[in-house]
Amino acid sequence: MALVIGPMIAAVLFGFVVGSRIHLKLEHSFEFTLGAIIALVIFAIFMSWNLGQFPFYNDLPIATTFLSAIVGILLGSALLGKNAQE
Amino acid sequence: MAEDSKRTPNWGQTESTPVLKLTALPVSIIMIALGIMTILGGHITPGGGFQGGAMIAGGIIFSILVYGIDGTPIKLSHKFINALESIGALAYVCLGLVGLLFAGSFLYNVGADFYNIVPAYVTAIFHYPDVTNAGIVPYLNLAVGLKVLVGLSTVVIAFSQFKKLGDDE
Repeated sequence: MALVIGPMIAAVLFGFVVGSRIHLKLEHSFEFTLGAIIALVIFAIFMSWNLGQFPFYNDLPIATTFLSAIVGILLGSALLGKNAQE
Repeated sequence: MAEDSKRTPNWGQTESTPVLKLTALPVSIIMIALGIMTILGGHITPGGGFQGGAMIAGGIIFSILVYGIDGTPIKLSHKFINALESIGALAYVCLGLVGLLFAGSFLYNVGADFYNIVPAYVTAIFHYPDVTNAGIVPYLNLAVGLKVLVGLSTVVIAFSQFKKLGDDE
Protein backbone atom coordinates (compact mmCIF):
# COMPACT_ATOMS: atom_id res chain seq x y z
CA MET A 1 0.00 0.00 0.00
CA ALA A 2 1.50 3.30 -1.11
CA LEU A 3 -0.15 6.66 -0.63
CA VAL A 4 -0.38 8.50 -3.97
CA ILE A 5 0.33 12.11 -2.97
CA GLY A 6 0.51 13.88 -6.36
CA PRO A 7 -3.21 13.75 -7.23
CA MET A 8 -4.05 14.71 -3.64
CA ILE A 9 -2.01 17.91 -3.98
CA ALA A 10 -3.58 18.57 -7.39
CA ALA A 11 -7.05 18.04 -5.85
CA VAL A 12 -6.32 20.49 -3.02
CA LEU A 13 -5.06 23.10 -5.52
CA PHE A 14 -8.01 22.60 -7.88
CA GLY A 15 -10.43 22.74 -4.96
CA PHE A 16 -8.70 25.85 -3.63
CA VAL A 17 -9.14 27.62 -6.98
CA VAL A 18 -12.86 26.81 -7.19
CA GLY A 19 -13.38 27.34 -3.46
CA SER A 20 -11.89 30.83 -3.65
CA ARG A 21 -15.13 31.90 -5.35
CA ILE A 22 -17.43 30.37 -2.72
CA HIS A 23 -18.73 32.76 -0.10
CA LEU A 24 -20.22 30.83 2.82
CA LYS A 25 -21.92 33.69 4.69
CA LEU A 26 -24.78 35.26 2.80
CA GLU A 27 -27.09 37.68 4.55
CA HIS A 28 -29.99 37.25 2.19
CA SER A 29 -29.68 33.50 1.86
CA PHE A 30 -28.41 31.67 4.95
CA GLU A 31 -25.29 31.37 7.01
CA PHE A 32 -23.16 28.29 6.51
CA THR A 33 -22.04 27.86 10.11
CA LEU A 34 -19.06 26.03 11.60
CA GLY A 35 -21.39 23.21 12.63
CA ALA A 36 -22.55 22.82 9.03
CA ILE A 37 -18.94 22.71 7.82
CA ILE A 38 -18.10 20.00 10.40
CA ALA A 39 -21.19 18.04 9.34
CA LEU A 40 -20.12 18.40 5.71
CA VAL A 41 -16.62 17.11 6.48
CA ILE A 42 -18.01 14.12 8.43
CA PHE A 43 -20.37 13.36 5.54
CA ALA A 44 -17.47 13.70 3.07
CA ILE A 45 -15.34 11.23 5.10
CA PHE A 46 -18.26 8.77 5.18
CA MET A 47 -18.79 9.26 1.45
CA SER A 48 -15.11 8.81 0.60
CA TRP A 49 -15.10 5.60 2.65
CA ASN A 50 -18.01 4.32 0.60
CA LEU A 51 -16.37 5.40 -2.66
CA GLY A 52 -13.48 3.12 -1.73
CA GLN A 53 -9.99 3.36 -3.20
CA PHE A 54 -11.19 5.25 -6.29
CA PRO A 55 -9.44 6.18 -8.54
CA PHE A 56 -6.19 4.51 -7.44
CA TYR A 57 -6.83 1.00 -6.26
CA ASN A 58 -3.69 0.47 -4.21
CA ASP A 59 -3.64 3.24 -1.60
CA LEU A 60 -5.78 4.09 1.44
CA PRO A 61 -9.28 2.54 1.60
CA ILE A 62 -10.88 5.97 1.06
CA ALA A 63 -11.22 8.21 -2.01
CA THR A 64 -8.23 10.43 -1.18
CA THR A 65 -8.68 12.83 -4.10
CA PHE A 66 -12.34 13.44 -3.17
CA LEU A 67 -11.44 14.21 0.42
CA SER A 68 -8.54 16.44 -0.66
CA ALA A 69 -10.87 18.34 -3.00
CA ILE A 70 -13.28 19.00 -0.10
CA VAL A 71 -10.36 20.24 2.03
CA GLY A 72 -9.19 22.47 -0.84
CA ILE A 73 -12.66 23.93 -1.40
CA LEU A 74 -13.14 24.71 2.29
CA LEU A 75 -9.61 26.17 2.56
CA GLY A 76 -10.10 28.34 -0.52
CA SER A 77 -13.44 29.52 0.73
CA ALA A 78 -12.08 30.31 4.19
CA LEU A 79 -9.02 32.20 2.94
CA LEU A 80 -10.26 33.92 -0.24
CA GLY A 81 -14.04 33.47 -0.11
CA LYS A 82 -14.64 37.02 1.08
CA ASN A 83 -13.54 38.30 -2.34
CA ALA A 84 -16.42 36.39 -3.94
CA GLN A 85 -18.99 38.62 -2.23
CA GLU A 86 -19.15 41.29 -4.89
CA MET B 1 -36.01 43.80 15.39
CA ALA B 2 -33.71 45.15 12.70
CA GLU B 3 -31.01 42.77 13.86
CA ASP B 4 -33.49 39.89 13.76
CA SER B 5 -34.44 40.63 10.19
CA LYS B 6 -30.76 40.74 9.28
CA ARG B 7 -30.11 37.34 10.87
CA THR B 8 -33.25 35.70 9.57
CA PRO B 9 -32.82 34.21 6.11
CA ASN B 10 -35.08 35.81 3.53
CA TRP B 11 -36.62 32.62 2.19
CA GLY B 12 -38.98 34.41 -0.13
CA GLN B 13 -36.35 36.10 -2.27
CA THR B 14 -36.29 33.39 -4.92
CA GLU B 15 -38.88 30.76 -5.63
CA SER B 16 -36.85 27.92 -4.07
CA THR B 17 -38.13 26.17 -0.96
CA PRO B 18 -36.24 26.33 2.37
CA VAL B 19 -35.30 22.65 2.00
CA LEU B 20 -33.62 23.39 -1.33
CA LYS B 21 -31.90 26.46 0.04
CA LEU B 22 -30.52 24.56 3.02
CA THR B 23 -29.23 21.59 1.04
CA ALA B 24 -28.13 23.15 -2.26
CA LEU B 25 -24.76 24.55 -1.14
CA PRO B 26 -23.47 21.38 0.60
CA VAL B 27 -24.66 19.31 -2.36
CA SER B 28 -22.93 21.73 -4.74
CA ILE B 29 -19.66 21.40 -2.79
CA ILE B 30 -19.94 17.60 -2.88
CA MET B 31 -20.63 17.72 -6.64
CA ILE B 32 -17.61 19.95 -7.22
CA ALA B 33 -15.38 17.58 -5.20
CA LEU B 34 -16.71 14.59 -7.16
CA GLY B 35 -15.94 16.46 -10.38
CA ILE B 36 -12.36 17.11 -9.27
CA MET B 37 -12.02 13.42 -8.36
CA THR B 38 -13.34 12.44 -11.81
CA ILE B 39 -10.83 14.74 -13.53
CA LEU B 40 -7.88 13.38 -11.55
CA GLY B 41 -8.84 9.75 -12.17
CA GLY B 42 -9.68 10.31 -15.82
CA HIS B 43 -6.67 8.45 -17.22
CA ILE B 44 -7.47 5.13 -15.52
CA THR B 45 -11.21 5.20 -14.85
CA PRO B 46 -14.30 6.31 -16.79
CA GLY B 47 -14.43 10.07 -16.85
CA GLY B 48 -11.85 12.73 -17.56
CA GLY B 49 -11.56 16.44 -18.15
CA PHE B 50 -14.88 17.05 -19.88
CA GLN B 51 -16.95 14.86 -17.58
CA GLY B 52 -15.37 16.19 -14.40
CA GLY B 53 -15.60 19.77 -15.63
CA ALA B 54 -19.27 19.23 -16.45
CA MET B 55 -19.84 17.87 -12.92
CA ILE B 56 -18.18 20.92 -11.37
CA ALA B 57 -20.23 23.20 -13.63
CA GLY B 58 -23.30 21.20 -12.56
CA GLY B 59 -22.60 22.07 -8.93
CA ILE B 60 -22.17 25.75 -9.76
CA ILE B 61 -25.32 25.78 -11.94
CA PHE B 62 -27.34 24.02 -9.22
CA SER B 63 -26.39 26.77 -6.80
CA ILE B 64 -27.32 29.49 -9.31
CA LEU B 65 -30.70 27.85 -9.99
CA VAL B 66 -31.58 27.59 -6.30
CA TYR B 67 -30.28 30.91 -4.93
CA GLY B 68 -30.58 33.02 -8.06
CA ILE B 69 -27.74 34.78 -9.86
CA ASP B 70 -27.52 37.55 -7.25
CA GLY B 71 -27.79 35.36 -4.18
CA THR B 72 -25.60 32.42 -5.18
CA PRO B 73 -22.70 31.70 -2.82
CA ILE B 74 -20.57 30.54 -5.78
CA LYS B 75 -19.85 33.69 -7.71
CA LEU B 76 -17.61 33.44 -10.76
CA SER B 77 -16.38 36.90 -11.69
CA HIS B 78 -15.50 37.91 -15.24
CA LYS B 79 -11.80 38.07 -14.35
CA PHE B 80 -11.89 34.60 -12.77
CA ILE B 81 -13.64 33.07 -15.78
CA ASN B 82 -11.23 34.80 -18.12
CA ALA B 83 -8.18 33.59 -16.19
CA LEU B 84 -9.30 29.94 -15.88
CA GLU B 85 -10.36 29.74 -19.54
CA SER B 86 -7.03 31.20 -20.66
CA ILE B 87 -4.94 28.98 -18.38
CA GLY B 88 -6.84 25.87 -19.54
CA ALA B 89 -6.48 26.70 -23.23
CA LEU B 90 -2.82 27.73 -22.92
CA ALA B 91 -1.92 24.60 -20.97
CA TYR B 92 -3.58 22.40 -23.59
CA VAL B 93 -1.86 24.14 -26.51
CA CYS B 94 1.53 24.20 -24.75
CA LEU B 95 1.34 20.47 -23.97
CA GLY B 96 0.47 19.85 -27.63
CA LEU B 97 3.33 22.02 -28.83
CA VAL B 98 5.86 20.08 -26.74
CA GLY B 99 4.90 17.00 -28.74
CA LEU B 100 5.19 18.94 -32.00
CA LEU B 101 8.60 20.26 -31.00
CA PHE B 102 10.21 17.02 -29.85
CA ALA B 103 8.33 14.32 -31.77
CA GLY B 104 6.96 16.12 -34.83
CA SER B 105 3.30 15.47 -33.93
CA PHE B 106 0.95 17.80 -32.12
CA LEU B 107 -0.19 16.29 -28.78
CA TYR B 108 2.28 13.40 -28.97
CA ASN B 109 2.39 11.79 -25.53
CA VAL B 110 5.89 12.93 -24.59
CA GLY B 111 5.45 11.70 -21.03
CA ALA B 112 4.89 8.08 -22.04
CA ASP B 113 6.92 8.12 -25.31
CA PHE B 114 5.81 4.72 -26.67
CA TYR B 115 7.97 5.06 -29.84
CA ASN B 116 11.16 6.20 -28.08
CA ILE B 117 11.59 9.32 -30.22
CA VAL B 118 11.70 11.95 -27.48
CA PRO B 119 14.85 12.81 -25.47
CA ALA B 120 14.92 11.15 -22.06
CA TYR B 121 14.97 14.44 -20.12
CA VAL B 122 11.69 15.56 -21.78
CA THR B 123 10.04 12.25 -20.93
CA ALA B 124 11.26 12.60 -17.35
CA ILE B 125 9.64 16.05 -17.09
CA PHE B 126 6.22 14.97 -18.40
CA HIS B 127 6.20 11.43 -17.01
CA TYR B 128 3.19 10.80 -14.76
CA PRO B 129 4.56 8.93 -11.75
CA ASP B 130 2.14 6.05 -11.32
CA VAL B 131 1.81 2.48 -12.55
CA THR B 132 -0.29 3.43 -15.58
CA ASN B 133 2.48 5.39 -17.37
CA ALA B 134 -0.18 7.81 -18.62
CA GLY B 135 2.25 10.57 -19.63
CA ILE B 136 0.61 13.91 -20.41
CA VAL B 137 -2.99 12.62 -20.31
CA PRO B 138 -3.68 13.61 -16.66
CA TYR B 139 -2.29 17.10 -17.34
CA LEU B 140 -4.49 17.41 -20.43
CA ASN B 141 -7.45 16.31 -18.31
CA LEU B 142 -6.74 19.13 -15.85
CA ALA B 143 -6.54 21.70 -18.66
CA VAL B 144 -9.76 20.46 -20.29
CA GLY B 145 -11.48 20.33 -16.88
CA LEU B 146 -10.67 24.00 -16.25
CA LYS B 147 -11.99 25.01 -19.66
CA VAL B 148 -15.19 22.98 -19.42
CA LEU B 149 -16.05 24.08 -15.89
CA VAL B 150 -15.89 27.77 -16.76
CA GLY B 151 -17.36 27.28 -20.24
CA LEU B 152 -20.54 25.53 -19.10
CA SER B 153 -20.94 27.80 -16.07
CA THR B 154 -20.59 30.88 -18.28
CA VAL B 155 -23.45 29.71 -20.50
CA VAL B 156 -25.83 29.51 -17.52
CA ILE B 157 -24.56 32.76 -15.97
CA ALA B 158 -25.08 34.51 -19.32
CA PHE B 159 -28.60 33.10 -19.72
CA SER B 160 -29.57 34.16 -16.20
CA GLN B 161 -28.25 37.67 -16.92
CA PHE B 162 -30.32 37.79 -20.13
CA LYS B 163 -33.41 36.91 -18.10
CA LYS B 164 -32.59 39.74 -15.71
CA LEU B 165 -32.18 42.15 -18.63
CA GLY B 166 -35.55 41.02 -20.02
CA ASP B 167 -37.23 41.57 -16.65
CA ASP B 168 -35.77 45.10 -16.44
CA GLU B 169 -37.19 45.98 -19.84
